[in-house]
Amino acid sequence: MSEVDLLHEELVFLDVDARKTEDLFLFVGEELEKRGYVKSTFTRAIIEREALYPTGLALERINIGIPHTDPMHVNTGFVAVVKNKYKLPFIHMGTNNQQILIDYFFILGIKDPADQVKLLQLLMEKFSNVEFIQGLQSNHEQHTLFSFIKNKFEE
Amino acid sequence: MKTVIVACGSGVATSQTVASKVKKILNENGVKANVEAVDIKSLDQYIKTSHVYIAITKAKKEYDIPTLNGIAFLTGMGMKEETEKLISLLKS
Repeated sequence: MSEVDLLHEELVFLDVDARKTEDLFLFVGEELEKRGYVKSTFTRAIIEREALYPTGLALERINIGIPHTDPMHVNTGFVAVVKNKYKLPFIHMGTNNQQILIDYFFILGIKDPADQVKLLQLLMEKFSNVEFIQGLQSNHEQHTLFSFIKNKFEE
Repeated sequence: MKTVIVACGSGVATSQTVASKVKKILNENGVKANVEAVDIKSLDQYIKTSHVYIAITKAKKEYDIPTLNGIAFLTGMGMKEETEKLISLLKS
């Protein structure tokens, strides 16, 4: 499977109005379940896993969260791109208390672990690219942001 | 041959990504080593036969082998320093 197949326009969520990070996961989890991407256990699994093994990353130009969980909670592989109206706090990977404010969440739903490795490599490569970050920040609509990311994934 | 162990919560996502990056770097530098990704729950059993531990999650306890920062290999930030440390540990 190519990573670009994991992107879906309906899974780009902008201007989400969540007060807390957990609310954001509940909202996105419900949308994912409604569309058949995940099982009903997904949201709880993400929240619990995040408490144990946080996935916030303060990168050079942007702070991201890459929540993910075990394939058993996922029906169809996907990457959901989520931006809240304002930045939400999240714990940095490899720590249990270092809080950062997240610009974008890339929620990863993976069926095949081999795909996950390629996907993470691709994401990390993109996030270290200044053009990619600028594009993320300058596309404020679902369709344009989706097309932008899709094009970049295909490069 | 020395063994490098990489551990994350599940042993499938981040640790494998980091392990694959580390393998590539060691290859490019002509350093031979076994690089393995495991889940954090199996770490205790693997650590005994490993020489370097690359950590992605915060350790609950101290291990008596050298520990490197795995997030540097994931994001590329600070990777040069961790690479230098890793190579010198594997060559010593």
